[in-house]
Amino acid sequence: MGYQLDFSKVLQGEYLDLILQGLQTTLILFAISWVIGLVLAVLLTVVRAIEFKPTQFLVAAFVEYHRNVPILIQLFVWYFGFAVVLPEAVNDYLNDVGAEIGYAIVALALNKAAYMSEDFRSGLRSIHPAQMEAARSIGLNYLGAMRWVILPQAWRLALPALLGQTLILFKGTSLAAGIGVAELSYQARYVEEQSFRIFEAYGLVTAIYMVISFAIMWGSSILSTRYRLRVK
Amino acid sequence: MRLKHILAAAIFAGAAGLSTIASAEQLNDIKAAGELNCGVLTNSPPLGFQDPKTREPAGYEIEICQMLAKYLGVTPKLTAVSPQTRMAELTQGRVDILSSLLSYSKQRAEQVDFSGAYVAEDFNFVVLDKSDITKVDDLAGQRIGLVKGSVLIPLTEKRVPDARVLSFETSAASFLALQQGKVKATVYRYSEGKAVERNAGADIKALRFLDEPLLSMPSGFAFRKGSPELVKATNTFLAELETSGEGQKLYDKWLGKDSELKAERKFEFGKPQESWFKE
Repeated sequence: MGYQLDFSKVLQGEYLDLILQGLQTTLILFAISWVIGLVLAVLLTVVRAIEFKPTQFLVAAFVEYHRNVPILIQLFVWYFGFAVVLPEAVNDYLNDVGAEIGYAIVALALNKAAYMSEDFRSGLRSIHPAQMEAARSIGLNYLGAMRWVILPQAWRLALPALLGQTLILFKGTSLAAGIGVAELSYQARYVEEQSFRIFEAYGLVTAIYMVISFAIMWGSSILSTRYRLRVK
Repeated sequence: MRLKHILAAAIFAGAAGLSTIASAEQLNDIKAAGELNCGVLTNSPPLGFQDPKTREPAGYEIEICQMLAKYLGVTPKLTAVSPQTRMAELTQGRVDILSSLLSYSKQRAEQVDFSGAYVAEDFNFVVLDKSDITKVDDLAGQRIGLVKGSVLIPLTEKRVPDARVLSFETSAASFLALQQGKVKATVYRYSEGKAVERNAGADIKALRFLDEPLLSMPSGFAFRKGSPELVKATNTFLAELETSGEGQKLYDKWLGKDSELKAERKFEFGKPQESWFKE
């Protein structure tokens, strides 16, 4: 009466289709959230670098919220909370086009923007102020000094942390299952419930997650070595 | 250290001795003791709950167990059990009989014996009252919210193959999704749907049950294996409830026309539960 492992059930037909659809959704969620997150992170870093207390405070508050509240709660706040302040017509439209994945992208992208902007800021802060003074003294203006001296070093310093965030985001996409996004882990659970093949369903999905995670890690190590600062 | 171990072992042995279960016919034991110990739920109104006034357990399932005790000529004793532990409470002998909304399933039938049904409740699709959905077939192509892991998911997909089922972590999340129009329908047990409406307050968007039930789910008494006489006596008692009209009275009091639910009885007392699950 032992449990016979039998992968054939989840590796064919409808179940495999569901898992592949889930993988597609996971990758879409990951890619779009990453791009939006990175762009927003750059904006946040620039805004925070401006010497103006109110905007600095706002960015800091944004970052602290996203760093100190569990991502699942952030997803719920967007999915269930944001709908309350929108007019009904807008809600109905959003629900028809697929509110789940939309809100999931918004929540994940904002969360990553907060983390990545902190990484950029650390990169900037780890460059000695004397470098700015030196750059200005050879006749570069502020923007020029940033463009030619500071930023080329800062982004390299931030790179390992950014790549780490990329991996965390990839794994974080699975939390979107909590608001009904049919991504990889949601489908794994569904297949498990339907087929009663718990080990196979989760085993297959675990393998998929691991392959992609390792690919991200491998890419990260190559990029990190390639762009490591030789002189500091 | 050694002494502690010996003491602990002695206490365990004593406890085990006290709770030894006689494997003989239970009906004789119950009659000899003059007491029927019913395992009941205390947080599922109107079936089994704490009466806020008397602080005593009350409800449909509690009254039916008291009636059974009277029929057997013994006094009823009520023990609160939880849905998670009720099977173990019975098989380990802490209660004589379960009267706690236990539905028949093949896996359960391997561990306990079931009486015929004393209650059956329909599960229906529920939509917002203002929605333009009037029958189950209107749900084709719509989104239906359910709770993860629910047995209702495959049933819903079978009944409305074109619908998109979204599953949420909790019943509350699925209810909220329905309220916000993120899904067009969900599925509730009749009394559960009524309770949700009542508990969620007056300012929610009104719900509407669609007529055609998705399924009907029976529940009955459960017994430890090996007491055919007790099972037989109980089934006779249930059959008499049906013929004498006492059963209808009890149903009307808690679930039917004299209650808030105003549900309609669609089952026969004592009908074998297995017959619900024949494909």
